[in-house]
Amino acid sequence: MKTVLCNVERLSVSYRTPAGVQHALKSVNLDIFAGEKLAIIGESGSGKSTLSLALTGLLPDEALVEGRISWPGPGFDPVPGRDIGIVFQDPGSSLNPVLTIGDQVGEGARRHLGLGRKAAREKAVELLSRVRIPQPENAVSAYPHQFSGGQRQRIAIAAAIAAGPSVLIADEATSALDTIVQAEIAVLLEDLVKNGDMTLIFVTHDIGLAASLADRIAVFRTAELVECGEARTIVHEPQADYTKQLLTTHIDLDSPRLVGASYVR
Amino acid sequence: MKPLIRRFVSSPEGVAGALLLLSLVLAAVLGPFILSGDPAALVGRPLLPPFADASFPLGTDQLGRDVLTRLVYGSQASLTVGFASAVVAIVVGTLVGTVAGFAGGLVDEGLMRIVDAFQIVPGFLLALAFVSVAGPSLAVIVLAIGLGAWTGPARLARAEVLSIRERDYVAAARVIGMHPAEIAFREVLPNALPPVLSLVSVIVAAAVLIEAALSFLGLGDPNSVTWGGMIADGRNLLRSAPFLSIIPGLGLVSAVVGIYLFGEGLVEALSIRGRRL
Amino acid sequence: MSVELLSVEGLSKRFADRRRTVAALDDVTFLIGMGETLGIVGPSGSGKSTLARVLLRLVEPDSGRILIDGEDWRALSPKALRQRRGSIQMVFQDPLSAFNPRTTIGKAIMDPLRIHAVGNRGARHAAIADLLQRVGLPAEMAGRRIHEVSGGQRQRVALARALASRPRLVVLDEALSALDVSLRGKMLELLVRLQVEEGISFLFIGHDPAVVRMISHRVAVMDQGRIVETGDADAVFSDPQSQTGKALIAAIPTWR
Repeated sequence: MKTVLCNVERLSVSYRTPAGVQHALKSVNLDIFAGEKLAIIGESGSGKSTLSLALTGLLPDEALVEGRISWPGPGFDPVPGRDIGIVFQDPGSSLNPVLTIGDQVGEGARRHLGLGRKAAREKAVELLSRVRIPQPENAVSAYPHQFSGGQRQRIAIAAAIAAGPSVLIADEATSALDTIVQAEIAVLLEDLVKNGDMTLIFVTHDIGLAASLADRIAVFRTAELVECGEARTIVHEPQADYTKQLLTTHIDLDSPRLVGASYVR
Repeated sequence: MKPLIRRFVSSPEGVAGALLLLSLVLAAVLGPFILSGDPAALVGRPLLPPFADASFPLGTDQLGRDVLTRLVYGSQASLTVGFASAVVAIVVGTLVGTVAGFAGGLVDEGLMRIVDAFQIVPGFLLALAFVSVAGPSLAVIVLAIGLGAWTGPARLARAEVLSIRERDYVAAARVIGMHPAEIAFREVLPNALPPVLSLVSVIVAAAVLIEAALSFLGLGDPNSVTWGGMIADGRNLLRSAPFLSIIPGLGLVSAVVGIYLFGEGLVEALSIRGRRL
Repeated sequence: MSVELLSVEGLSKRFADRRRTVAALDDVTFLIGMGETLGIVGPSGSGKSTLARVLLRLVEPDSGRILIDGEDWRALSPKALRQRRGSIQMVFQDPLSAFNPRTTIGKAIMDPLRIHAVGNRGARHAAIADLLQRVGLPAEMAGRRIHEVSGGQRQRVALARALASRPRLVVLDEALSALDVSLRGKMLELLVRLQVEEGISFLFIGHDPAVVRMISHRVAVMDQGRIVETGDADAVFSDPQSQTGKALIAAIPTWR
């Protein structure tokens, strides 16, 4: 059956601000299973990004953390870069504009797998072709600004999986991209997870994307976990009122239009 | 205004600097009334050390003039020159930089070549040359130091304006139909100013020191008592009466430290929400 | 009699860098009627944002005609343009960067009122309160700055400012894309209500066809600077004819 990769137990994260203590996460209990695609849904302020930072160990020093995150799956705490990869929302700022993408993609392999320069370069070419960047042998010497937003996000994904992590976290990785590119990245992520035997945790505000891509969905609202379960169940038989609200307010092509029949000239 | 003050007060350096400066300024302004003496008057035995005689707390110099009175009068010249020069430098520099950055093209090119020309000459030499030609009055000294220091603010203001020009709120101002001049001076300039103001402390401190150096060299205003002049006067007596140079020297040090700390607080106060604007 | 508000003909704009020229807009032609909403969808790089900036004359096109209420918009002198700008306004994608961080919301809304001499000085403060209330915000918000109000409220403030000069057309450039999903519906309802009450036309640029469809009467699909398909919003999205249209619809996650 499904093995538990990660166990989040009563996790709370808060910050001290001039206005008082702000809670980013309140007592979250969540299991993550190996090999699954888990979607974390929420709106701004829900705590979803805090959770991905907590899982990766990237919370800022000022964060006040209670509870714990344990990793029964691997049996040890994952090292960011080697065991967990993360892709962020803005492809423009996650890549260093003055380094070639070959350097950036290969860095994970060099640092965590101990590959030398030549071997890392070959690995970078292989990774770039895996994320379907055209002409990867040329691309390794190119710079981020020479690529489109969607391509940069693919490059960021390649960099994130360079050391062969078992967990990939995509934090709103497609939110800044148009729908066509978003669909392509979603397909890519699905492929990578299947072929690479990885666990995918993706954070999004788009319930439609979550429903189409995820095995399970966890719904967050103002720092709390509202509901978690199989994607199909969450979408068709939501228990929590908030989930129901998210589903009814979701706009798709079948939603009734707000303007009447075609404009009469 | 209130949030500005609140942010300033939250910075310990700023408060320390403000207190130091305030005491110096108060001393400079109120001192003459409290002490009711003439800094040039020969009032006591020459070369009395400090704390020896209650009526001359900081002693007297080689001509028998009261050091404390001279110190207080001297602070007026130093602080006035310091602040006035900084005002000249920042006002001129910000205006030039904003016009250059906003207008672009030939105007920008032309103005920047002028900035280059001024920047080539070291500030102190420029002040020296100016004063030698135009005569050593406080006004000339202020102008001389200001003209040496305006290039830094100009470049910084221009750089800020170039970046602010691309922001959405500048586009929004155009969309609303705002006149370019209004956009430059009401939308862009106030947002370009905070980083430029971070130069205040450097400029004021440098101005105070340049004025002291000019006075030390005998090019200061001969009609005023200045700390630089006091240091110069005590130069030959460093072995026997070091306090004559050290006391005005300490005055300079506290002024510069106070200015620096105040500047830190100012920058803190002007940043909105921790974001440097 | 024509009830056209905006007529755009043959709008073209190329951007050139050292290596190549990109056609950001290529012979773009369309109409918007009074009180109508035209949606513009397309992948990134299709020219949607360039279209918005060219229409607002933030960027000048290489060629083409823009007629607003029959008047040649491109022929206006800088001074005349500033005076006419009240009739076409824009809501930007990111409300936080679209406002001067140092000024209050009240001042930001006062600017267009003052520049276009809407009402007399005394009436303007009341007008600001009225505008804020019309977009569902409390009048006291005028004293705050843009970063002091919540994300959901910011775009409403932007809308209030856009409405101040009583525009005939408002360009919404990805105006809902940065909003929380649950707030989009309310914002769309507000836009439709304003359209019905004031007869404003909207040019609604977005990358999500489902959202654009909600309030658009007609929609134009753009790709690489050209309009590749136009028609009634429902018709285009239920049965797209163009390659791009089909790709956009196919990209929508299917799950229900």
